[in-house]
Amino acid sequence: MSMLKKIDPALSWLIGGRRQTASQLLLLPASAWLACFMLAPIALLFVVSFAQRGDYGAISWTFTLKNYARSIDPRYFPVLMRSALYASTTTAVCLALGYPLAYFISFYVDKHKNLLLLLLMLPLWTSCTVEIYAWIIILGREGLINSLLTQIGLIDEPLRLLNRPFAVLIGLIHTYFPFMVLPLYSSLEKLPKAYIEASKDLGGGPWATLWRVTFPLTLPGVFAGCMLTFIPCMGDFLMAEFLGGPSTYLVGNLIQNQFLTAQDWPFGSSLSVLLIAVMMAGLYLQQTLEKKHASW
Amino acid sequence: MTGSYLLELKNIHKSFDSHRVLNDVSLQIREGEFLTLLGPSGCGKTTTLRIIGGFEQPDSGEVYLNGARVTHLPPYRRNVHTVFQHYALFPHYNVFENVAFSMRLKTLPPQTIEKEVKDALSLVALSGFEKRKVSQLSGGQQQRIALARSLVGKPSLLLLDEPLGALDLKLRESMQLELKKIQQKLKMTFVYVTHDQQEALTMSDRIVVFNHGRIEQCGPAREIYEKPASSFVADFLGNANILAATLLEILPGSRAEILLEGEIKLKVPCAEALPVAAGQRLCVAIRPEKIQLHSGPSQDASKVSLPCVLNDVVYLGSSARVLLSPFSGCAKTIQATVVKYGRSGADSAGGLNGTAPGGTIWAQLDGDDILLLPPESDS
Ligand SMILES: Nc1ncnc2c1ncn2[C@@H]1O[C@H](COP(=O)(O)OP(=O)(O)OP(=O)(O)O)[C@@H](O)[C@H]1O
Ligand SMILES: [Mg+2]
Repeated sequence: MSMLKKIDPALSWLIGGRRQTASQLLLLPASAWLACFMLAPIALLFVVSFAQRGDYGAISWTFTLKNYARSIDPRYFPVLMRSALYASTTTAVCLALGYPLAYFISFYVDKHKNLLLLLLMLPLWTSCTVEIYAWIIILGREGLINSLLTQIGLIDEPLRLLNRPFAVLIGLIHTYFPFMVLPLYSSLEKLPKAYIEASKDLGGGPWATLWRVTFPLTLPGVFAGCMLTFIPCMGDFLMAEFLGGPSTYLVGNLIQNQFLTAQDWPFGSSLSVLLIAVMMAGLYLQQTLEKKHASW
Repeated sequence: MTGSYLLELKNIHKSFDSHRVLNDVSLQIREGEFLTLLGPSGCGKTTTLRIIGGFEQPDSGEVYLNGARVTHLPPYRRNVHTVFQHYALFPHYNVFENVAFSMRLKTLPPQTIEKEVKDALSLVALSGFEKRKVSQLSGGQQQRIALARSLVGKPSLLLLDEPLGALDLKLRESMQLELKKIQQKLKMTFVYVTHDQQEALTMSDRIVVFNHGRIEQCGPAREIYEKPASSFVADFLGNANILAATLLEILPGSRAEILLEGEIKLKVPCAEALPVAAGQRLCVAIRPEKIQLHSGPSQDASKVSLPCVLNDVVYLGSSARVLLSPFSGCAKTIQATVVKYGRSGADSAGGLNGTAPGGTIWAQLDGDDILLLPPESDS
């Protein structure tokens, strides 16, 4: 009896305890990767954001709140608003195009569902640079569209398509479209078909059913998709840098300039920290909304 | 031609990936009727209901509603509502909005909607539940809300798919009576699906017995119980003992003489049109409650007595089920129901007379209680 009692903890360690340590060990590389490349840089940003810019772009380690005061200077307000405008336009367009697409794949595609989803994720796998150059080739002065239109004889002068808000939006939509469609698709797939049948049974035609049942019940997916599109859009600078012009200067470009051109790392850091804080607040809001929905 | 029926199914066939689910199903329902589709799990009851509701298209055959062909009409163009097997109440609406759903679609004035919802909720005895969330309701309450939601649009036909399946016996029994009362009060037509034979007998005007996607029999509850058309129906409603027999001779006055299990000659009542000719094999069914148990052979010449070994007694509360093995060559176990089954086992007449399992007891049959059935098909 006492033998058994002695063996028992050892056994449970062998069976349960060791498995736990094993799973923790397996998590280690991923955790280390996250710590090194996510948490450490953010912590660094946070620390640097309270420092001062020294001579020739060096960092002088004296505590100051000046960077934050500068960050909320009304001068930068238009840039922030422009970013929010681009991000929300991108999100709206992605939602308007993405919901019908996700709906179509979920309800009307039988055999090639996985193939279609794979194609949708293509932008996630291609390098951003490749995408940007593809758009430059398509939209440029001697690009695909212009040469086509000239050849047909619709235009005499090539249209200026590049370096305009339109081009930046196209690039943003193209890049972040999968982030919208995938959560929408997964929430539509999870929706029990019985609710749709119940609505039709009670006299709801396709539109009434979509509006009163399908869409409200997939709102968590809509929220998630909007957040996943909006947040990276807010920080994006590549599209504005390569497809945009002076009129498309975004928060991302402002931050990038502090680090690379103006050599003002502390100010760039404080801008980044604020942006991250705003995003976190948005995420928190989305989580709360989702929890409210989950308590139906 | 089809005008006299509210609903008519004509030769419906349906297969799912070459698996035949419905085989030549034809059915007529009159206005105001309570029709029950009864059958074992997987026999095609839900599929039949889904074809009536418009959620499934038959491979061949037609559906008529009020004389109009609706076979390929979508569900929202049929004045038919369904109470689903798992209710499917909308989780993002409260009770009021769930019940009001069909009226909101018709954009009725708010006062009308409010009044109708109130009436429907009081009909299912859930007044005051308007603001509740669906997730805050018990199973029985959800069932009643689902019923109210389907009733409120005044459909010409209500389909109910095992709506009481998830409830406990007590609640189920009271809901059965309530449903029947509501149906009679609103003079509505119900098509009700169940695999519970007791439920079917309690509620229906007519019962349709399904087996393997075919209609085995269709008729009033009493007729189906007392004059089953096949051994499947006899066994499914009321657990009949099915025995093999040979038809010896057809006698005048709707009677016939049969040889039961190759041993016992019996005179039994029979229909005018017998399924087989004299000399051929057929099946007979004997209800467990029609078998009397005695300690000795019967003196009555009109009855037959079979000496049996008492195998087992299954206690059922108000009665007991006795499993018997006849001494004859019959390999089957016979079931008999004993009402007066006391704890002591020493019962008066009609009981076991103190016979313990392993002992001998006489099973007494009256020829009048024996039902003649067509022979069991090989399928
Ligand atoms: N969508 C479908 N695809 C393939 N097979 C199906 C489908 N729906 C039903 N079936 C099959 O059809 C048969 C009949 O199903 P149905 O749901 O009508 O049975 P049921 O009589 O309602 O049974 P239960 O009493 O268990 O609800 C079953 O064998 C089932 O597996
Ligand atoms: Mg079913």
